Amino acid sequence: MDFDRKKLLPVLIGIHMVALPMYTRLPPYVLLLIVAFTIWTLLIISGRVQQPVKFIRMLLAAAVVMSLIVSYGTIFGQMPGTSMVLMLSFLKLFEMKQKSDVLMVVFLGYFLIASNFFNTQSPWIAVYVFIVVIYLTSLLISFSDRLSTTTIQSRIRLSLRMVLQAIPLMLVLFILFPRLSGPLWSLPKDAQAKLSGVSDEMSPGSINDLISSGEVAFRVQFEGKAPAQKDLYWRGLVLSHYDGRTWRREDAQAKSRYDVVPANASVQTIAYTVTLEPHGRDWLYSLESPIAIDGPYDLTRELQLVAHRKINGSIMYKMTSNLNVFNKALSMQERQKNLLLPANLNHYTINFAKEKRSEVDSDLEYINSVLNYFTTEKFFYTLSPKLLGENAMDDFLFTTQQGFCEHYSSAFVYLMRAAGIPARVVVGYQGGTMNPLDDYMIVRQSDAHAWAEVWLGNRGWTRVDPTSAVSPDRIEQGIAQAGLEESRLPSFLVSENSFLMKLRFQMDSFNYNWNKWVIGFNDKKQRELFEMLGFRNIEKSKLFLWMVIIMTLSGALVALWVFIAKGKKEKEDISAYYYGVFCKKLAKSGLVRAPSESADEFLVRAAAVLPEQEKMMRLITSYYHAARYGNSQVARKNRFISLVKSFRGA
Amino acid sequence: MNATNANLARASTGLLKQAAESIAHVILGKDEQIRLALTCLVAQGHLLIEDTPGVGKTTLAHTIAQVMGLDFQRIQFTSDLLPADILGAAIYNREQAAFEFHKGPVFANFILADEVNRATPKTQSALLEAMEEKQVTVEGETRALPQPFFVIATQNPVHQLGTYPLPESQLDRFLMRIHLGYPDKKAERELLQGEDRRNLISSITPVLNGGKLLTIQKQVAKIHVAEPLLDYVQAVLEFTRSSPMFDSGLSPRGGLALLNAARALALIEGQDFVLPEHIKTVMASVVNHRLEVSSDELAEQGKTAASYISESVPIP
Repeated sequence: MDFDRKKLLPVLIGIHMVALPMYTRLPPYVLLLIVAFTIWTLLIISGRVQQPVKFIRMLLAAAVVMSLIVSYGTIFGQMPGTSMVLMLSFLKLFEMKQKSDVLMVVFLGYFLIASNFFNTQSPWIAVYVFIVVIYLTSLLISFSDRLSTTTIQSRIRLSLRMVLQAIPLMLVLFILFPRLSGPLWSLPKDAQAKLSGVSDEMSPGSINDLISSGEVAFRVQFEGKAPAQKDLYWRGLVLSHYDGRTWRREDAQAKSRYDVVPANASVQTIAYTVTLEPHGRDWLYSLESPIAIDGPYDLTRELQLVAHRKINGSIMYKMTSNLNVFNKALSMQERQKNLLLPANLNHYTINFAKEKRSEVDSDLEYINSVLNYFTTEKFFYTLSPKLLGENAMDDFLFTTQQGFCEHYSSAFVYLMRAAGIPARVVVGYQGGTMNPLDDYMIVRQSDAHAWAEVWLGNRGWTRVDPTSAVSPDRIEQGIAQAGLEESRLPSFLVSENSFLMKLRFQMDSFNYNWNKWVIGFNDKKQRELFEMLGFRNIEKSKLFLWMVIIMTLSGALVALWVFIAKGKKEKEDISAYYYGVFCKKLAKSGLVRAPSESADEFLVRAAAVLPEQEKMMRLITSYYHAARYGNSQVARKNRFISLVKSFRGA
Repeated sequence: MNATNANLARASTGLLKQAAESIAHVILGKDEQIRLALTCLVAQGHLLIEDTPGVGKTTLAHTIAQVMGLDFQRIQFTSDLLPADILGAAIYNREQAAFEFHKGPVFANFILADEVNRATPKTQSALLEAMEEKQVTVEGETRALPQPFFVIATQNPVHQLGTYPLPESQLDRFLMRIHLGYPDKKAERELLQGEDRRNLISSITPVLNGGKLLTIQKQVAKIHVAEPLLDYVQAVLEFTRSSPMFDSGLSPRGGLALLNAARALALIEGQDFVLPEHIKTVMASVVNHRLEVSSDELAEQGKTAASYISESVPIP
C-alpha cells in the first residue's frame, strides 16, 4: 500500500517542534532551506506535487551539505552536526514510503531534541523537551496503529502515560549515573558562541554595555547574614596593563600562590556558596578577600580566582572570604608593573597628578584629594558619556567630565600611577539583590562594576572606588538608584509593578533551585547524597554497577509482572496458548494469522496454501473451538493439545 | 447441556436445515440470505430487507411463512395507510349495542410489511411499537400478539421518491437488515426457465408449525457462550465506541442483538456453542444498520462498518 501523503503532516509538525529551539541558532542559508522544504512538503501533502525523484533528492542533499559548509566551514562539530541531522530529517519527508521511514525520523527527533541540552539546561527547555517527547511518542503510536483505531486524544494520553512510566528510570539514571566533570561535557567551541559577562579587558563602554542586561551573572547563598550593600564587591579580574585606551589582564598569569595576613585579630570571615552561570571565561567571582575555596580552583597572587578550564556550564563553589586581610609585600616586579603608563600621552593628567601629590604629605592624603576632585568638580555619572579623544584621560578629567565606572576607575588608577603609587583596576560586580522569597542573592549583569586598588605600604592593596565619590547612591543602594538614564537599565529594575517583581523573583527562585539541585548535581553532591544514605566512599565504578543492577532488577520485575499476568490468563486459557503454538508452527511456512482473523477464516487461508495438511488443520480447529468456546471443554482440551503437539506444520 | 437438550437441539438443527432447503428450492442462489433470515427468525428478531423492487423480497417472505407453517399477513404500506389499518379498530356493533374490536392484520404470526418506508412515520411507528412490545394497545386495552411473532419489512432504497426513511432509533428494532441483490447468472436462467415462483410456494409442504418454532426459539438461549467470546463481543462494542470512524458506538441492545443472532446461527449450524466465526457471519446484517459511519474513508476503501470491525478487532 502506498504511503498516505496526509500522514506527512503530523511528521512535519513533529520535526518543526524538534527544531523550534534551534531556529535562533541556525544560519540563514539553513533556515532558507527549511522554509523551502516545509513549503514543498505542504505542497506534497495537498497533492499538488509528487514526492521528488531520487535524482532531485540527491541534489537537495548536496544543497544541504553545501549550505552547511558555507555557513560553518565544516560539517563537523556540534552545531553543524545537529543542523545536518535536522536537515536530513526534513529530506526524509521526500522519500517517506513506509513506517520504517517514519520511525527513523522520530528517532532522529528524540536525538535532536536531547541535543538542545548541549546549549542550555534551563528548566523551560526541559519542560519543552518533555512536551516534544510526548508528541513524538504519540507519533510512534499512531504509526503502529495501522487501522487508526485510536483518537488523537487517546494516543496523546497513552504517550503521556508511557513517558510518565519512564520517569522512575530517568530518576535512577539521574541519581546513579557517574558524574564526569571531564571531557565528556567539554564541547566544541561553537556551543558557547553567545555568553555575556565581564570580559578580560576594559575600555570605555565595555561595562556600559552590560548594564542594560537583566541576565543573572551568579547567585549567592550566604551562611549567616549577608554583608552590607557597600561591602559587596565581587572581585573578578585584576587589570594592570594599560595601553592608553584599554585595560588588560596580564598575559602570563602569575600563578604564584597568594600570601595574605589578617589585618587584625578580629577575623571577620564570610562563608557563602556561589552558583555561577556559564560565562565562557576561566575566572570566578568572590568577595574580597578570598581565603579559602572548595574545589579545583587556583587563587593567584592578585587574589583572582581562576578555574582550570573555561566556565561553559553552570558551576557551584563554596567560598570563604575575609574582609580584613592584606598582602604581605609587593615585589619589585609587581611594583613596576603597577606603575607603568603608556608613553607620551595625557601630559596634562600627569602634570596634574604630580602637582596634587606635591601639595600633600602622604599617599593617603593624595588619594583623598583626588577623590575630592571628583566630588567638587562637575563630574557626572552617566551611561552615555561623550566620546574621548586620543588623550583619553586629559579629555575625561578636564573636558567632558562625564562617564561610567570604567572611566572613573581607569582615570583614578592613572592618576595614582602618575603620582608613583602602584595601582590597578579591578572588574567584577558590585551589589546584588536578595530574593525575598528565597534566601539567596541575585547578582545580575547590570551590577557589573569596575573599581581601583592602590598599594599602601602599611595596609597592602586597598580598594578605592572613585565611582562612590561621584555617585554614592550607586554603591549604597545599587544600580537602580544611581540616578542613571532609566531607559538604559533593564526594565524590571525600574518597574513599579510589585506583582511583576514578585513573579520575577519567583521565577528566579525556581531557576536557582533548578541549577542547585538538577544542573548542580555533580559528583560531589552525588557522593554527599550517598553518604547521607549511609554509603561512604562509593567508587564511581560501583555506582555504575549499582545503576546497572537497579535497572536490570526493575526491568526483570516488570518482565516478571507481565509474565505472571500473562501466564495467569494463559492458564485459564490453555487452549488459546496451544492455538498460538499451532499458529506459530504455521507461521514458519509464511502463514501469519492476523489478530482479528477467526480460526475458521485462518483455516480457509491455510488450507489453500497447505492442502495436504487441510484435514489435520480442520481437526485441530474444530477441537480448538470445542476446547475454547465449548461447554464441556476439559475433555477436549487434552486431545486438542496433543493434536497441536503432533502437528508438524509445513 | 444434558442429553435431552442435546437431542432437542439436534432435532431443531435438522428441522431448520430442512426448512432452509425447502426455501432454497424457491429462492434460487440466495442460500446466505436464507440462512440469515432463518437466523433472525430463530433469534426472535425482526428482519428488514432492503432492495430494489422485483428481486424477490416478497417471495422470500412468503416462502418462509409457508415453510414455517405460520399464518401469514401482508400489509402493503402506502402513504395513506393509517395506524388503525394495521392494528385494528373498535367498531360499533348495532345489534349488541357495543363497541367491538376488529383485529388488524398485525394479529398474525408472520407479517410482511411491504415497502415500509412509503408510509408516514406515524404509521411506521405503530408497527414498530407492536414489534418491540409484542402487544398492541388500542383504546386503552392491551392485547397480546400471537406467538411466535415475526415481522419481515421490506424497504426500497431510501433515495427513491415518496419514501419516509426509517429513523435510526426505529432501525434498531430490526435484529437484522439484509440485502437480496440480483441473482447470479445460473440462478437467473433457472428462474426464467422454471415455473412461476408463486405457484411453487403453494406447493411447498410446511416443515414446521408455530409450536415447533417456539420450541426451537427456546433452544437458542441454551447455546453456550464462553468467556472469551463475551470478551470478543465486548471488544467489538468498545471498538465501535472509541473508533473515530463512527458517530456513536453500538448500544447494549446492539451487543445483545449480535450475541443472540450468533447463538441462533450456532443452533442452525448444529453447534452447541458460539464461535467468533458466528459473530463475524452475522456482523454485517446486525451491525451495519445500527452504525453511522462518520468518515468517507471506509467507503473509499470499499469497506462497510462490519468488515472494518471484523478485520480490526483482535479475537481474544
